[in-house]
Amino acid sequence: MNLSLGYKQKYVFGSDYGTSYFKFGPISCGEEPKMIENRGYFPDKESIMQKTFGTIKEIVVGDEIPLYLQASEDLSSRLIYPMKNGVIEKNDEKAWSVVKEISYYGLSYFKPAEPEFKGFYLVASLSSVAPRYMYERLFQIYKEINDETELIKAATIIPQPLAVAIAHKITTCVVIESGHGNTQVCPISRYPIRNAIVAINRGGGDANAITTEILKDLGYSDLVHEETFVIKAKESLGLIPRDLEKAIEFAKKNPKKFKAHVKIPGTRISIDLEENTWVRFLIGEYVFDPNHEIFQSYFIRGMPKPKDVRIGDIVFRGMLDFGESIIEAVERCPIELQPHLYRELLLSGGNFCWATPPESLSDIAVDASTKMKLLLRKKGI
Amino acid sequence: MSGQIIFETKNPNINVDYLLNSIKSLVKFRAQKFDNYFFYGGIISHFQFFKIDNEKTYVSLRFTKAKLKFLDNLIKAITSEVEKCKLNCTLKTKIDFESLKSYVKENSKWFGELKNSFSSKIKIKSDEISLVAYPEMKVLSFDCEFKKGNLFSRQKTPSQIVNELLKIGGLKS
Repeated sequence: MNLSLGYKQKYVFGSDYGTSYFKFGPISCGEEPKMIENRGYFPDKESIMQKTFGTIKEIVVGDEIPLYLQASEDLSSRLIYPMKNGVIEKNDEKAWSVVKEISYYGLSYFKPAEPEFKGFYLVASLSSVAPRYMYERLFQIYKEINDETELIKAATIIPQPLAVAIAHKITTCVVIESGHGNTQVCPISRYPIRNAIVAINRGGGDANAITTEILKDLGYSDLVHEETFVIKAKESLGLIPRDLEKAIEFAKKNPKKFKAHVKIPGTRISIDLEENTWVRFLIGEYVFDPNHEIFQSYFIRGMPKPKDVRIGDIVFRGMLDFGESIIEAVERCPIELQPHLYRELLLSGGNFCWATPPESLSDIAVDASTKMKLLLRKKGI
Repeated sequence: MSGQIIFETKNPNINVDYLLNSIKSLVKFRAQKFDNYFFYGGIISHFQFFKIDNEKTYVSLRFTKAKLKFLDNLIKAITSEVEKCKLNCTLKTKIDFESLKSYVKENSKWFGELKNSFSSKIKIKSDEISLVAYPEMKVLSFDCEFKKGNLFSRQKTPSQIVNELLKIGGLKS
């Protein structure tokens, strides 16, 4: 049997460089990759621990970081998050060294012991707004890694939305990729149409922010500093409304229909919304459209408002709703192509992974794809 | 469970529809969405055909969310059409990886271990299985070759192999 095909069957490896999380794993690991935070820590080499116990690593990445964290005033200089909205500054050598370290960490984590192993077939993905120099630098990093340890047989780097389109085998579509840090709307016709990309400075992290405010209002202020608690609450409570005002009105009249009791496993902590089940809809709505006036009170109280941010030549819009962003992206494309693009919308990323509401509540709560259709229909698409 | 099956064939008639018809004779079909074919017990996707020369074609397909019986029938359907096929199967499992490691260390043709994984070639009855385990990820991956006509008679089925591995790891299937 063809050696190359059999070898690839075992040793294809995926690496997804998200702004907040680096996801990686070989094809033989199944459908769930390993995930670590996209960050690196530069330990203090002058510390007593270093002098007592010998060499500490230059850069620490992955699950070990918490073990090395020292004084919080050092954090900003030692704990480096290399990507800002998917982009790394060209000359930020500290950031690039973190990227090299997490790339090496990922590949070596899954290095098999078999003697036949001669390196992975690596497919890496970057944000659709990543400039060319990022691709060039990453290839250089892979070469450096391979010069030290044979981990890569061949490598290719593609934009994240293209990876989604390839996975679905659709060559003409719009991919809406929404992760922790930001959202990219990318029309694809054989390849991403770069000039048509619309970037939004809003992602799962912002859903965490509104959840934090809701939990504070419910009396959980002492716990909201724990991100795992907030994430658990968001995932368990968040609902996407068909229409926010109608959903809130209905839920206020029928709070028991949206009852949710969240228990944090292994603890005595539980969240009970009691009569306030209507707040569940704020979480879902905020992700798709943060412009409703109900969110103004949260901004006034200090919740960070998603801002417009310029990274390189791309402006990441903060408050643009997802429906408008799709229309804006598509309308940057040739007119003849536009109907084909609207026909296939692919939602990708953790920020679209909402639980499907029960059928009995489908008039009030919807899933992500239905919400997207509703947003577009409201604007005449 | 998820994984891939690859095989080579000289039969010029083999294409997606041909293979699907063979599988449908053994497994109830539910629906198709894009490149995904939903059956009762599993999903098949990503059919790929690589023509190497005028005679031979290499075929690969992926399966996901597969139950054991589905996998048995899938291999049975494929080996009814081709001489042999190679299965790579991954399962997420709560077995005792230390038990599995101890067993394969003592009973294997070859054993290797790194920080986050161990690999081995073992024999289950007469079948040679290559396995890789990632204990921290709770993932076990194995590959095995199946030959035409041997399934259910001289050779173990995929489900029997999986059950055997789970048993070694101290878990019922």
